[in-house]
Amino acid sequence: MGDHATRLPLEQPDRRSTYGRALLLAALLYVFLVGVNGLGAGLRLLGGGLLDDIFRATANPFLGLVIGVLGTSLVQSSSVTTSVIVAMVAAPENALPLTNAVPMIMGANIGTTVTNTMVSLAHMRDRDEFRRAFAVATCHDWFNFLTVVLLLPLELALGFLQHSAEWLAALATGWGGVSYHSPIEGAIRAGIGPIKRALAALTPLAQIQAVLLIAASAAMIYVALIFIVKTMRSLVKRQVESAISRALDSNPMISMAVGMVVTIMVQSSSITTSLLVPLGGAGVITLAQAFPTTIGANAGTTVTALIAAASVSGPHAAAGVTIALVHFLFNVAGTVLIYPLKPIRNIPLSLARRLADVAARSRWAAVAYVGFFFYLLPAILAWLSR
Amino acid sequence: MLKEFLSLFRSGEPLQAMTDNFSKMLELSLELVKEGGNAFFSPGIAAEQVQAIERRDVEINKLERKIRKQVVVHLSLANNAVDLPHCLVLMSLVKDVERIGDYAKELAGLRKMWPGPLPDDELCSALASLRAQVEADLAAASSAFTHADREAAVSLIRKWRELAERADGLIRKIADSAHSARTAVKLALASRFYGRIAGHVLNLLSGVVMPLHRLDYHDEKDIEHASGLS
Repeated sequence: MGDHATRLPLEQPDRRSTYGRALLLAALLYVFLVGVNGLGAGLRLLGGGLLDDIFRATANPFLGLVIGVLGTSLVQSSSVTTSVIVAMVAAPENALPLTNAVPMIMGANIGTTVTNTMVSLAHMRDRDEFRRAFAVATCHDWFNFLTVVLLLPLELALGFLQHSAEWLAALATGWGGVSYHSPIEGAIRAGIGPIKRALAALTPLAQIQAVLLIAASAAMIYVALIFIVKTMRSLVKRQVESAISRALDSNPMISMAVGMVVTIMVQSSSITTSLLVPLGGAGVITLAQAFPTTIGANAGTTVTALIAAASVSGPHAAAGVTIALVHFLFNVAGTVLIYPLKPIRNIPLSLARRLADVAARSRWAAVAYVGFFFYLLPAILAWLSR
Repeated sequence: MLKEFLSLFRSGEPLQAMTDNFSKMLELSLELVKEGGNAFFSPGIAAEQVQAIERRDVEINKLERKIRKQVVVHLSLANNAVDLPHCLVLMSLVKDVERIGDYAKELAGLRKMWPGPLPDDELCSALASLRAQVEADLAAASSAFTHADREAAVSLIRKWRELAERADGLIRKIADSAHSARTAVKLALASRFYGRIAGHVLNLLSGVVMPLHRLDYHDEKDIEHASGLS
């Protein structure tokens, strides 16, 4: 910055830094995929006994839903949760039943909205600004709540999401025969091998090795995704800013598509929706303008689970692809049900406005909303449902 | 349509876009000062001319809102502290440029309100001379700002301070004159408007000379202080 106010700051793009980040991204993606496959390997090693009870509990769709909500709220990333679910469903042995995983995926959709709601709490100092920011943040919550309310009963009754996803998965994976083999299976096995050998050297007990492998794999998924998001964000920062600022004045379809593509680019719906919160707080965008971008982000975040699913191999690999497609179809179905008709579209918007009015009058109510609906209530319900 | 969609993701230069819009706004405002002066000093101004000036002022106001929105969006999305000073300067200076446009519009508005001829006397000649000097120095002020020419800006600050003082002096003389209330008010308001235009141009030039926290300060000691900082 110069010695006077109007000097334009100079920014030179660093090509070497871009290549470096691209290489880092490839490495992180590899770690992520090794983590996904490692989780499946860990479940195989663990054996059926311990898992039977856990999986039997998740047969309760309500418990599955709250596990999805709580798990995602805790890690603040639906990508982590859905990738873990994909890995568990696609595990070569002792896989999580697909039907049990569907409500968990739905819960993950709800849990991820906690991040941008927390971001909006930073605007508390100014009542009107906070009202606007909180409304923009919570329209995401209400959209996902409404989608679950509409689709979970339908899914339990008809299984339409699962059946549709199975059909699509069969198209995608049926070419290789009964078992789907990931094109990068060998590379991933080469990554898991050393970890398994290290754990075997640490302890001879298979179950302990399995638990450690599961924990290490989950940690790899979590850490890799955090850094993937950071790296992608730094790589595409300018394109994201251009796209979102230009989309603000565009029609809803364009805004939705931009929300989806930006989320795919940064690999995080929370990043995309959190970017809208300060804009809403400042009054630069209205709630109605933010909504389609938010919905698009919902659809875009399903790509991570699809990437995870594409990397798994074995007898249950198609199930892994199926559950990833369930995630995608769930979000698309929610959009198709809620957005096109104005009276239905206005439901999450007016709920967001009303909640924002309450939160603006009592900021403690806002904090209580986040703490209660995303953490305390799911924990209580999970405990009661066990 | 796909091409248009993909073009949304082309990296833009948000700061340059804001600065370009600001330059456009400045150009429009300065043209409006000349048009406002023409309208005030013309013997018979057509209603369409006044309307054209008012439409031009609306354009300036729209650019102000556009630049402010661009600033807020950029600062929210880019999370880049380096751009913050330039953005804050723009937020401040768009107000000055918008006010320049407003006062120019008000000059035309005076004529619309009181369409009668201006007196042919020393005071009116002094006002016409003030107008001529303001319009002559506008281009120099705009250039100094656009090119961030510090030396030119310092010299122009002294010149524009004199113009502002001339406007104030003229108002005192008009108040002491024997003109009717209507004529005196018309001339005094015109002088005042030129004085305020000078004031806002001074704020603009301070952006070239002063650091951010001293924007809009342009007394001699402020300039010396700023020179001492460089």
